[in-house]
Amino acid sequence: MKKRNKTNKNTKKFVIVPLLMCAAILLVSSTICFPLLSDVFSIGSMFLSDKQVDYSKSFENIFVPTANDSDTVNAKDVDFPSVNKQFGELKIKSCSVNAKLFFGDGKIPLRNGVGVYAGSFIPGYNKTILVAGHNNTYFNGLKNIKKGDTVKINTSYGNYKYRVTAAKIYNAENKKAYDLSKNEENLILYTCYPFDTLGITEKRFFVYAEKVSGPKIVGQYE
Amino acid sequence: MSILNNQKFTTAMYLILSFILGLCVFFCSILFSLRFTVFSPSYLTDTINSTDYYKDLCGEITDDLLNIGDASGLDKSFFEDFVDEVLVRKDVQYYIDDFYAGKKLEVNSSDFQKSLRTALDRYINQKSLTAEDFSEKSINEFVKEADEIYVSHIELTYFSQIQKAFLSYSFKINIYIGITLAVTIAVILLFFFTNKWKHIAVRYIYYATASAGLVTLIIPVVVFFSGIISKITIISRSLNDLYTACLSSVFTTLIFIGGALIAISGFLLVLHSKMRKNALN
Repeated sequence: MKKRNKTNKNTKKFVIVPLLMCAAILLVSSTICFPLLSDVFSIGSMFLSDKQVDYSKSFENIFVPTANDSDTVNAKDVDFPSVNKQFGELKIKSCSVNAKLFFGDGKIPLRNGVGVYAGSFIPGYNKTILVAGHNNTYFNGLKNIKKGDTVKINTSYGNYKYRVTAAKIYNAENKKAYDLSKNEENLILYTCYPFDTLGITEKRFFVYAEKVSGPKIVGQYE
Repeated sequence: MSILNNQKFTTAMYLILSFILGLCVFFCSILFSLRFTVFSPSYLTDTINSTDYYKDLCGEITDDLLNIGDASGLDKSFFEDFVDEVLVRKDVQYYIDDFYAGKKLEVNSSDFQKSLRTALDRYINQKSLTAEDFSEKSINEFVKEADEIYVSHIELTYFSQIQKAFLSYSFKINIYIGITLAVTIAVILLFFFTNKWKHIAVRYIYYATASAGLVTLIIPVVVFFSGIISKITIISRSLNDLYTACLSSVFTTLIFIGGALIAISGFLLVLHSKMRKNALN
């Protein structure tokens, strides 16, 4: 009996002592390395996310054609697009422009169509809509645009028409070419200039259009 | 009473020494795993070669070049097979070598520029383009932007920022390994030379190796089970895969070291019981 107790005591000693020591090592080493570890954790946390990065080159299309011709649409009924999503189409019949309309003007939008600059607005907000496209692909037809031409933008929440008022050429860096703070719905299409040129150009071709019809977005976005 | 007190004091001292030994063995494990992974010049190259890094990287460069090609009026086919993996491998390897050698990190992209110029001349001839279709300035701007894209992909993100600190740690890590090894050996010798009964020395060394092994195992196990590595999100797929592969192999190395320490402690436990039996007999 006495021998068995001693054996048990020894067994416990050989298990408990290393476990206690293990906890103590963790505690002491984390205290010693705290300044280094806190730096590593704070830097590392910048690269952590619960959301997986989407490396695919495909895009989501939330555009469903609608026949809605009402004057207003409630903001909560608008499926507000996130970057790289197709939310509409842009057509200019007079100069054969027919392109998918994306939110954002990065790689995916400009390869597959034309894109609304994410710092501007989508149609219906009584603000500036700035749309970019490549001059050798989807916006190549802009070289034939004329004053008075109609630009159509169809979205899932309404169909919009704009009338071309002017076309101008500016240097790429010229910020006077557009006003994103304007409290009036206006559409600006832009692309590189000259058209059909090989290489990167310094100038941009801007097309300005005013709203003719289309629902105004009212209420709060939820 | 005095003998009993003396015995308690000796036991406490040995336990403290055993704890110090465990701490040293643990630090040694961490330092060794870092020394033979991230701080080893061949490690990054080996990891790159064991992943699809070059394939993904060439795809990413092509993707960005296609974008600039779209903006520049080039046919899609121009860039589709343009990126040369051999050239990419060479430039990345130079970059890594310069990083570990402490040289200024610059990508020499002259070969890329040269092949782009050659391909452009061929394209212009094939399409019979005239001076009206392009200007020297627009072509130069195009080559410059394409080169910037290429260089930005060859460079390993954050390497230039961490190079100085990394090299400083790379030097210090050898000193730290030396110190921890010296302390480890000194404590082990102390155990053996101050104990009449060698099995007692073995027991305290067992405590140290078992506890150090457990800690060394716990850290990677927690990291792997928490799934923290899969939460790393870097916009570039090639870099994301490379960095996660590097981190995974560091923690896998720790698991091996931890496992080895546990095996050693098991051996010490058996040795202890045999030595104790012999001593009692």
